[in-house]
Amino acid sequence: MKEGFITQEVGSLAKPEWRVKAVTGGKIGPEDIQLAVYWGERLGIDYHPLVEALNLPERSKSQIRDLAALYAVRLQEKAGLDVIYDGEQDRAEMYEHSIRNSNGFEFKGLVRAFDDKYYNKAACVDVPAVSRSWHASEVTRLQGLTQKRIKVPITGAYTLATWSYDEHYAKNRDLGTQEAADRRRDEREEFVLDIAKRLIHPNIISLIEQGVDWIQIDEPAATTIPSEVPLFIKAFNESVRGIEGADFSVHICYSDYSLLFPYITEMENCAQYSLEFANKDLKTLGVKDEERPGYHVLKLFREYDIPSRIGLGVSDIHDDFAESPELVRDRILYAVDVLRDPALINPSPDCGLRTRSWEVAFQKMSVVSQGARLAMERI
Amino acid sequence: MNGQDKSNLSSERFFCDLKYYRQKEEEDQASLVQLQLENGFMFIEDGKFTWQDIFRPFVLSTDGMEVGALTRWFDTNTFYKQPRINGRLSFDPEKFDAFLPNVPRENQKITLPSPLTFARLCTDTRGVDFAQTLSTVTGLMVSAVTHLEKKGIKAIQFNEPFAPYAGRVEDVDNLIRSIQDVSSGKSLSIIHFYFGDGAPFLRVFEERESSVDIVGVDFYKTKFADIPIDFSKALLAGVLDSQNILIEEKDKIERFIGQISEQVRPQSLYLTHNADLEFVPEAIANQKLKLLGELIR
Repeated sequence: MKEGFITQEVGSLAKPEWRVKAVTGGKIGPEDIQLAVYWGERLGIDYHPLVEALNLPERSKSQIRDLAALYAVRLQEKAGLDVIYDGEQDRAEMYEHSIRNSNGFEFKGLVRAFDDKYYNKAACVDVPAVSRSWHASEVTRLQGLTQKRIKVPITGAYTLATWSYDEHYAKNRDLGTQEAADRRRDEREEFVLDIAKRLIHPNIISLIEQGVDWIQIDEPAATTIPSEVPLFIKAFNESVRGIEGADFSVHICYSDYSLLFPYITEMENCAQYSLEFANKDLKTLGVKDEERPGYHVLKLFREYDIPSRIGLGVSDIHDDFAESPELVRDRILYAVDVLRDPALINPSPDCGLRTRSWEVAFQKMSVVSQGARLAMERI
Repeated sequence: MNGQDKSNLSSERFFCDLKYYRQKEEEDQASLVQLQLENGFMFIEDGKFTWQDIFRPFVLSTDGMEVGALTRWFDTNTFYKQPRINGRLSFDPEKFDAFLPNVPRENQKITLPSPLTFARLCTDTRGVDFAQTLSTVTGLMVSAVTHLEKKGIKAIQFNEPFAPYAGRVEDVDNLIRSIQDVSSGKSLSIIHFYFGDGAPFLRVFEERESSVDIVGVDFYKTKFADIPIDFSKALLAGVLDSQNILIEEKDKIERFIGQISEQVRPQSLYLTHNADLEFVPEAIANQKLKLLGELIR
């Protein structure tokens, strides 16, 4: 641990308004140009090509997308994170992007996720198949943009199934009995595992062929249905089965992680559990047990002797509250105390920062690296 | 803005101004009300388009309470922010009004969290036991219900997903007591159990005195064979699945309703969807409401 904690992002960043407007045919205003210049100067990017592109009547959407990715990469680098991605600038969002690049699904309309945030929910209507590689173009571009280590987030099988309606596998429509619901279990397992085998596995192989050496499987739905946690684990194992040449990790958030136990011991080849914690924690300083309630579940990882690293969420991404470096430090130190090995801890924001402004996102990523340095000084 | 975080508004995502966003909300609400009227619904709901989650209007209208951690709503992909109790609660009816229909209809119903679900899902930082938390939340609900009744709301439905989801029949006594405290008798009192087997709860309500007028269950989770025969209260039957986009076969549901009438023989029978319709897209929700209208007719 001489070199300190390895810090990481988790996935998404908000798309700059100039990027959204340019790609959707919206009107670019002076405020968009100002933002492009402001962040360009702040991040040390030559903003002239972007300003020029935004001012053209016929804009190149692919050029604008590429520049949005460049800005997102430099934002993370400037914040001091060690492991980065492109802020998912090419993805509508984590679910829709994967489904749009797959066969066997039909979009049905918007459904609420939280507050006034909605996602376009699809139904599985046929056996799923990949229509085009989900992330190949993102990776190709990113490999030319940064020297930092890249971690590619890919939405996992259990989450894609759980966030979709099922009109293909589920054939049992009876009501009035628990038994009817029980009979759906086999159909459900076939659905989830088909996504793992037919969508996730081939996409992972394609990424590794591109030279990717760390793939984060995003499974925010992992513990949605407690009785299905073993199915989530089966799906993870099926997704990575027989694949070598890369580290695999899983990201889970806004969930009761205690539900993962004891099944988690059956997970194969999972180098890191990236989890949200800060959302559930207090905002005051301290490293005592009662001062860090959001992190108590780490004790289960120690109790079950889980050898994997923890992607430790130390800044809350659903709140503009500015964590201090000292608060982040204390969260890390508490985790070190519980897990008893600093090398097992990779500080990060709780989750993707797409709901925050870039100003807030930059602050929240920066404080992760600042807090990690402070924690290192105490070890 | 009702104190809400601006970044949580879809207006930001879609780059429309707040005025336009609110206008669209009002149009959506009017359209939903019209649909219910056209289909002969006995009670009319406004759709809660301005509620970020079922607790937020209470949190934003109450001193001593703040918005807490983003948390999964049972086994769905929908999330709420935990109400966090920090001190003595003081309810402000004027702030609450921002979340209510301006002019309630004669048959306006409003759905609220039951005091039990509210108390079980909130965080109480005061270091008190659950009984004290439930008592505090019940007091808040008394203030809210009193205000709603003054505004002319005629029916109040208390949603109770917690107890059936967790299988905690032992919580029912707490529930009955808290609803008793909240109900003044000036409005119809409905309790709806969903996200789990409602049969054990119907049996308890059959045995106990309570101020509840109508008891509802989710028939997609309830074991029909276990529900009491000759149910002496009015039954609200959740017969359309709000988590499935497939539109139910009318004949099949009619047969099922017939089965309820003949075998359960409740004092009276009301029909509904099993849970909130926010789990399906608007077009599907509207189709389900139309089917409900056909079933009523």
